[in-house]
Amino acid sequence: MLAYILRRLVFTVFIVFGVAVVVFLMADALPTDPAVAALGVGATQDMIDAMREDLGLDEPLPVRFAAYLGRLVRGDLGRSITTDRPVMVDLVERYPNTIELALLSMLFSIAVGVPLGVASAHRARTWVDSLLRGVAISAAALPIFWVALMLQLVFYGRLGWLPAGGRLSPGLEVAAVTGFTTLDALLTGNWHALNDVGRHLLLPVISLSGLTTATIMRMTRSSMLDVMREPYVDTARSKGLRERTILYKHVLRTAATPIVTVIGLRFGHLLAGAVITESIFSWPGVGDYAVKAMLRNDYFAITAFVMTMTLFYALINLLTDVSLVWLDPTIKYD
Amino acid sequence: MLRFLRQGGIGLWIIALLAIVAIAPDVFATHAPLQISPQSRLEAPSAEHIFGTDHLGRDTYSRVVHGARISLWAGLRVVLLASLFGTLIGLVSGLYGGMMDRVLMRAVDVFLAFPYLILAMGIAALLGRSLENAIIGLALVWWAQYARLVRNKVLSLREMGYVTSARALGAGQARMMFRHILPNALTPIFVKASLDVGQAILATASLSFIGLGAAPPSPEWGAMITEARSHILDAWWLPTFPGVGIFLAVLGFNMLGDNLRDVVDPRSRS
Repeated sequence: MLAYILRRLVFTVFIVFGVAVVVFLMADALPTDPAVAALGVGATQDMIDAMREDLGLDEPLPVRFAAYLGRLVRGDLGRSITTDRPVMVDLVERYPNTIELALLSMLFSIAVGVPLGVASAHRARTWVDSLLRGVAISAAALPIFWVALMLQLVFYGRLGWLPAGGRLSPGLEVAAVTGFTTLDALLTGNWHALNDVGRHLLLPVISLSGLTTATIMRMTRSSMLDVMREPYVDTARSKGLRERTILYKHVLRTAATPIVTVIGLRFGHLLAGAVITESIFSWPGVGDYAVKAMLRNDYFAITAFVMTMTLFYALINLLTDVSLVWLDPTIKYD
Repeated sequence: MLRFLRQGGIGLWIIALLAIVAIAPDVFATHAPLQISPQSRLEAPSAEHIFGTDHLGRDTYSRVVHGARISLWAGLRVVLLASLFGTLIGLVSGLYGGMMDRVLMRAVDVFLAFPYLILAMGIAALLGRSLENAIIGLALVWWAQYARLVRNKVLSLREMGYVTSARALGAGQARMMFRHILPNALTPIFVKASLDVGQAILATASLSFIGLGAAPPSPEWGAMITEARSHILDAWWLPTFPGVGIFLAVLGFNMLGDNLRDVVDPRSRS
C-alpha cells in the first residue's frame, strides 16, 4: 500500500507541474496583457513598455516559464489590481472561508444523501424510492445560481428569516484562531457569533450541496442495491440481525467504495459551485474574489485562482484515492 | 436511428419542444425580445405579458423564447467542438499506441486534473467577455473526457476479431480508423454527448451568470438571471422563468442521455 501511495504522490507532483504549464500557456497565449492589466486604464506606451521590462514579458518563452516557476515556488503570485495587495495575501485570507463552505456542504450532502440513499435502496421500487429518484433527477437539472437566488428571494426577501448574504452581521467579530469562522466561534465560546455565522451559512450550504446530495443519494442507492444481492446479506438476516444493523454495518461498508469515489469527484464540482454561491451570497471566499477579479480582468488574481484551486482539487483526489485503497485493499491500479 | 427515437422517452419530447421553439422563436414570441418600453417597467405577469416585463419594459416571455435558441445552440456547440476534437485525439492515441499514446494521455490527465469549470472560467475571463469565448473555454476543457473515453474504447476494440482480420487483409491505419473502429466506438460517444449537452447548457448559463459569457441585452438565460438580481425583490418573475427554461433543457437532455445509456449498457442502470 505504501508503494501505491508513493506512486500516487509522484503522479500528483507530475500533474501539478503539467497544470502549471497549462496555466502558464493559457495566461501567456491569451490577449490580456499583464502589463496593461497591472497599470490600468490611462497607461501610456512608455509606462507599458517599462512594466513589460519589469515583468520580463519580452524574454523568450523558456525564460519566462522558468521565471514563472521560480515565482510560483517562492509563493509570489503577483499583485492584484482589485485589492492592490499581493495575491498570495488575498488568497491566504480568503481560502479558509471557501474551504469552510465546501467542507460543510460536503458534510451536509453526505449526512442527507447517504441515509436517503439507504432508505431508497431499502424501499426500492416503492413510491418512496420513485419520489426520491424523481427529486434527484430534478435536482440535477437545476442551476445552482438559480436555486441560490430563489432561496434568497424566499427566505430573505419574503420571509425575512435569514440574512441576504455576507459572513457575519455588522458589528460582530470572531477572534481568528484557525481562520474557519464556525470553528473559531466554537473554540472561543462565542455562541452568539456561532449562531450568526450559522444563519449566514445556511442558504449557501443548501444551494451548494443540492446537486451533490442528489448524486450521493443515487450512488448510495445503486451501490447498496448491488451489495444487497449478495448471499451474505440473507445469511445475516436469517441470523436474526436487525435490519438497521445489516444495512449500516454490513451493506454500507462494502458499498462505500463507489460512494467515496463519487465524493472525491463531486468535490471538484463543489469548488466550482462555490464560486457562484459565494458570489450570490457575498460569502468572502476565494470564489467571490475570483468573480470580482474576472470582471476586472485582474490577470494575476485569475491565474493564481486557477492554479490554487486545481492544486487543492489534486490534493483532494490524492486523499480520496488513498482512502479508497485503505477501505478496499484489493484495489489495484496500473 | 429509430430505436434511438423510441428510446428517448420524455426527454426526447422535451428536447423536441425546445428545439422547435429554438428554430422558430418568432412563431412563439409575442413581442420583440429587445424592444424597450419604459412605461411598462417591472410589470407582473398578465394577459399581455405572460411572464411579465423586466426593468426596461421588455417582455420576459419573448426573451425566454428567444433565449432558447441561444442557450441550446451554445450547449450544442460546446459538445460538438469538444467531442470532435476529443474523439480525434482519442482515435489517434488508441490506434497508434506507443509514445504518442503515452504523451497524449498524459496531456489528457493534466486537463482532467482541473476542477469542473475553473479552467474554463480562467480562459473565458482572459479571452474577454462573450458567449463565443465561453464556448471556446468550455470546449478547451471538455475535450479531454472524450479523448480518454474514445481511446479506451479503441483499445478494447483493437483486440476484437474483426479488426485483426481486417489488418490481415491489408487494411491501412486510416481505413481501420474510419471504417472499422470508429462506428463501434461511436455509441458511448453519443450517450456521453447527449448527457453533456445538458451540462454544457448549464455551464454556459453559469458562465454568463458570473459575467463571463453572454452579455446583456442578449436574452441568454444565464444573462437574464443575472440581470434580474438587482430587481429580484420587486419582480420574482424575472429570474424564475429563464430558470425554468434552463431546468427543462437540462432535464430533457439528462433524461435522454439516461435512456440512451440504459439501452446501450443495461448493466449500468441505477
